[in-house]
Amino acid sequence: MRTAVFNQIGLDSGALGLLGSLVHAFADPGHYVGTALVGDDPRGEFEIVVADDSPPSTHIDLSALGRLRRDPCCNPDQPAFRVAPGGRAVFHVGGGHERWAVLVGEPRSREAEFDSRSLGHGDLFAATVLRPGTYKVRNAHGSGSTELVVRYVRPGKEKYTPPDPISIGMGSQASRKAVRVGPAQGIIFEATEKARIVVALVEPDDGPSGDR
Amino acid sequence: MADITVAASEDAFREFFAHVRDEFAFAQSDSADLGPFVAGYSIDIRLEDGTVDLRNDNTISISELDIDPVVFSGFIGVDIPEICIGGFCILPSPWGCVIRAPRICVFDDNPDISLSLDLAPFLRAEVSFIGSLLTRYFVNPARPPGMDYLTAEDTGLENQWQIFIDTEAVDLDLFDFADIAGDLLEAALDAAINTLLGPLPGWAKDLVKAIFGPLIDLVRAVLDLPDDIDEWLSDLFGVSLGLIDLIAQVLLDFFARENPINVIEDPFPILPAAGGLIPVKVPLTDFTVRVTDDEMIVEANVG
Repeated sequence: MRTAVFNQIGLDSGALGLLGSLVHAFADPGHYVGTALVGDDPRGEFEIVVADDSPPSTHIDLSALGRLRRDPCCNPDQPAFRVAPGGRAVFHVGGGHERWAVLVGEPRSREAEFDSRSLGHGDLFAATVLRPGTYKVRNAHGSGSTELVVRYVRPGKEKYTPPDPISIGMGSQASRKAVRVGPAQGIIFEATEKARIVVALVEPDDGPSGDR
Repeated sequence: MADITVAASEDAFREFFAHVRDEFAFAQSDSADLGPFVAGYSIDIRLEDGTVDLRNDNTISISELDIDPVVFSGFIGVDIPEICIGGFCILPSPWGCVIRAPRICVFDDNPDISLSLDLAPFLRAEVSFIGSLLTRYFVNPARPPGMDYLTAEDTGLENQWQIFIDTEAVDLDLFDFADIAGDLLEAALDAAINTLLGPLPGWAKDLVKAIFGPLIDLVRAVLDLPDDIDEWLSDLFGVSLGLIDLIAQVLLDFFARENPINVIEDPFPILPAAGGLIPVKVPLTDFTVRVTDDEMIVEANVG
């Protein structure tokens, strides 16, 4: 059993764990290079080729890139991903306990096309929160916070199915309106301005019988 | 008329049978992938009791021969279906979902739940068969060529006429488990599920159980457990894992091929060595055996 997913309490788009993923659209054809980081430590490099005759989306597992780099003997070539112009790259973490960031830019360009620590307009942060409780959602590059309540589900005769995902816009000023979700329900944050989205547990809910 | 006729009463025959029965020992381990789960066993069995009846149609009936499991440990491994989170649609379109969140699955071991059951105290198994007596001449393979019969007798390498029970078919009249074995399986299931979820905090256990529904019901569904668990256990080990056929075959080989119920030395001693003279022994030919309803009769000619 993979217990790690239950140990990741709280999410951060700039420090991605198992329960979050980021989506960035590449509008223009080109050749990009990316770096997967843990903190400020680069752990893996990759290429993204944005060209016609490519799939509309590509999934990039940052933790897998880190494993490739640790074994350079057998993976001498830098991994390359392809996506069509206007298509999207999905960055996620397939395993482990570490928190990852990703930086993508054109070679020799000082300006990043995508930096997970500073999302741009249209970037998506898809989060899954499992631990019941009250959370504070804030934009680290903005102000204010939104309350997120993840309700407790008790085992019953009926199986629990997470409801459909909800979407929340995230600008520099957080909405004051509280949001209620079920555990494992998808929450899709869409950056409308520069954003680093942090979901932090404020008060856990241990259910009717408390923590056991 | 035969030169030599020897008879053994039914009681004497029962003694012969008891002696052979007590020599029986069989140990085996096996396992099989049964689709949604794996199962296996380790057994070490003996034989006990049994009713012996000589019949005037020249057959022998052995009934209510109990199988005594010195060891019977069962193993059942259940692969819990994956519970996955994520996978929801991040970017929908009128033509369907463009991008989905990656799925993360919680249970990935195979199997996730392992049940070990000590079933020896609960197995009830009983075998019956009808057979006729069969004779075979046994040439001792350890006896060197040229060794005379006197030396062979002294060194325990004599040839023999052997009498076997040629079983027509071995039937396991009974192969089931006491009612309490079902409770044992239920308790093992409960314990295994608690162990499986043991590392998780309470809220996570509740969440997993909520997503699965009652976990014990799920495992019962995987195993296709009916209300009568004892019958299910009997079917699992007896039929699916083939123990009934295996035990029947082993018993058939044991009585009909490997363990004679009686042996007669050949040449047969008539007078022991005495007064400096060698023993008097006669070779036996035309060795036959038959039964009536109250005795076993062995006949042979001196050849």
